[in-house]
Amino acid sequence: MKVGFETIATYLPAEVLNVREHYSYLEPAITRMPEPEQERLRRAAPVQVRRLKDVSAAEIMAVGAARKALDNSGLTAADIDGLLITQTGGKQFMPLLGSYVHLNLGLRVDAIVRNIVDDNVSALDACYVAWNLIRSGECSRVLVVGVAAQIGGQTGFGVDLTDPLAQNYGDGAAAAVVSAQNLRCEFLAYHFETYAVKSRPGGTLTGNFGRVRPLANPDLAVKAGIEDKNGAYLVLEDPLFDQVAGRKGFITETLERALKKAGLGLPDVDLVIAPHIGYLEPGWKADLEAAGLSPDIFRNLKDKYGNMAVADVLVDLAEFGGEGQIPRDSVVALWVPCPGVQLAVLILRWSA
Amino acid sequence: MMKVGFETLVRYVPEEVLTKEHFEYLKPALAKLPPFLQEQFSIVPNEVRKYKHKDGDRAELMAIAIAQEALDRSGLAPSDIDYVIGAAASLHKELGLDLDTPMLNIGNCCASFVDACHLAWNLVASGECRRVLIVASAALAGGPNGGTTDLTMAIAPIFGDGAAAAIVSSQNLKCEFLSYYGETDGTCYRSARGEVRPLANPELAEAACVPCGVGPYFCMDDISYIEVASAKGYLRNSLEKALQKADLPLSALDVVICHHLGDCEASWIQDLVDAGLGAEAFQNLRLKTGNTGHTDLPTDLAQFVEDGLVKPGSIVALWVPGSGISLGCLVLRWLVGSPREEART
Repeated sequence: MKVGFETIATYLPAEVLNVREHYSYLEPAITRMPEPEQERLRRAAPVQVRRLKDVSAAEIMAVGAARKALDNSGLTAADIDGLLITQTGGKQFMPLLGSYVHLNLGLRVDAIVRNIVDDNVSALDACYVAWNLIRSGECSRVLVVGVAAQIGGQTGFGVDLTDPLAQNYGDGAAAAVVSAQNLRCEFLAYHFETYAVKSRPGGTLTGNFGRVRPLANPDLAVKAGIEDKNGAYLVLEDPLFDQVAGRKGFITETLERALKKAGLGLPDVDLVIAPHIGYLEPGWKADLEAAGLSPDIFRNLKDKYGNMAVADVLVDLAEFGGEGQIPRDSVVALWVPCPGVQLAVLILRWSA
Repeated sequence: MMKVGFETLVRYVPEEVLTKEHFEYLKPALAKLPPFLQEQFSIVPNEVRKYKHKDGDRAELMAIAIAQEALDRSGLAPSDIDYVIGAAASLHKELGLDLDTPMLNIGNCCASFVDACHLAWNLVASGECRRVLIVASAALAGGPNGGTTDLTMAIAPIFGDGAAAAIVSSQNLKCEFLSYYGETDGTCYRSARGEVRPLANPELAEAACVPCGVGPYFCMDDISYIEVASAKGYLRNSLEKALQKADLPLSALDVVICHHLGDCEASWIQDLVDAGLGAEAFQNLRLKTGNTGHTDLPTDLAQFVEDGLVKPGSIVALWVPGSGISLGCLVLRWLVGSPREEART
């Protein structure tokens, strides 16, 4: 049975922040950084990001993306028998968005609802779970939603807006229906790797939040438009991640292993969509080139949306696909490393 | 059709015992609450357990230990595990799993274990995996290296630490899964929730041995979650639907193991009695371990098997209304005797 995305849609907040202008208040903090880091930060920053300034930003974007996915495909809530949802940021760390979206979409009471909490690989993990739910016959259509509500409000679980790295992050969401019908693409392989590793915080509830801490630069709180208070702000720096995901050859070696599961080799891949981590991108592109691939196969919308965490690769795929930028029969790799360090790859063939 | 169930089920109950007397410092906090909340929050277990290790995340440490025990007890090697649900990434390294063994975390609150069983069942039945390791670990007894319990909040005495692990497969089965039923009710999305907030009663911080200031804490300022979960017929109706999927009547149930919510128990027991089941069908260890989140059900089941309460042939329902509400119900048939009986035979 062929399984893939029947539809995929995005919900991007209307407010556009020009990163250089909006985050000029961070300059004093940036100049306090060692010079090589300043340079790296400036080079990696996106041109613009989107923001939804609302305490319920996660809820609004999740429902918005899900409704668009249904509307675009002519489906109704009654057609959906599974909901897999993943989020970065939000106003509460439990319960997560699943039951809220279930209620607001009007899904049937016994639809399978799972909140997936695997940092930035969550959306791809959800696709794999959805794939299995479809091919086992347990579900006929599974809605996968990824939401990043990171910069729009001081809810306690978002980006510390006084941290120089804040300028890399944006808000946005995507939703896709996974099914075996009317496919826009077909899933070919899912691949996952775990490297040695650090813990994530969270008791029984493994959450996408950091340890409670003060703002990185409390002197900038007023200019950032936030209160100077402690919060469980997202952890934006991870040297172990940089070391593993930035290692020479990492992207090509892992892509090769993923493609092998689909009976393919590295030369077969036409498009690699990676998360919006600007400072690692030059190395990844160089790796692909060294493996004989055109650097053009590496594409993403980092400069347009910034780092949208769990939503990055789904947003990019939706936009590239919607704009007709993915030729029919292209082999696409959604390739996502995340802190931990873990990696998920979904290989698909575009058929729309 | 392939039988799938637990090949291994192990539990961990931490050594340190906190009796309800330990929480007497919370009396002023309880007195400040409106009468309806005082009543709810006064239904506390006799004792809860707390994991003693002071360094590192307690939930993570317990998860690693119990997952290792699951492997040891089953005589399996790390390479026998194809998929892991419910643990931090560090478990991967500590257990020595293969580089490409996937890990998944489900954040369905207290229903996460049961919901994980359903996904594991799906992965094994579809042939995608041979063995799925599920880990449940809860550091809810509070404190700096624990989970989300604000130890100055009047509800704190109901929460405890604990852990369990299970290997789901189609081999050497201790039990067979018969059906899963889940329901979602988002009307209580804001009821039993967790958010970043100050301590509920900072004046009790010293007595509770916790630092002042904000933290990611559990909140429950409205009880709509409890009202829905304890509504007349809620347990019975969902059990019926779960059993129907297994072509069984409600009367086939021998044991119903429910999540440790003291304020709902009276209505749940009444539901079972109304359905013609004896009150003794309702079993759990709430009074001994408190609410250990998604760990409640597997730890109780493992203990009841050891105690001989769950016997070969017993039909058991693991039933949990997780915050949200995410309701999960797994119906299974236990296949083997207690470890003691097994050793004898």
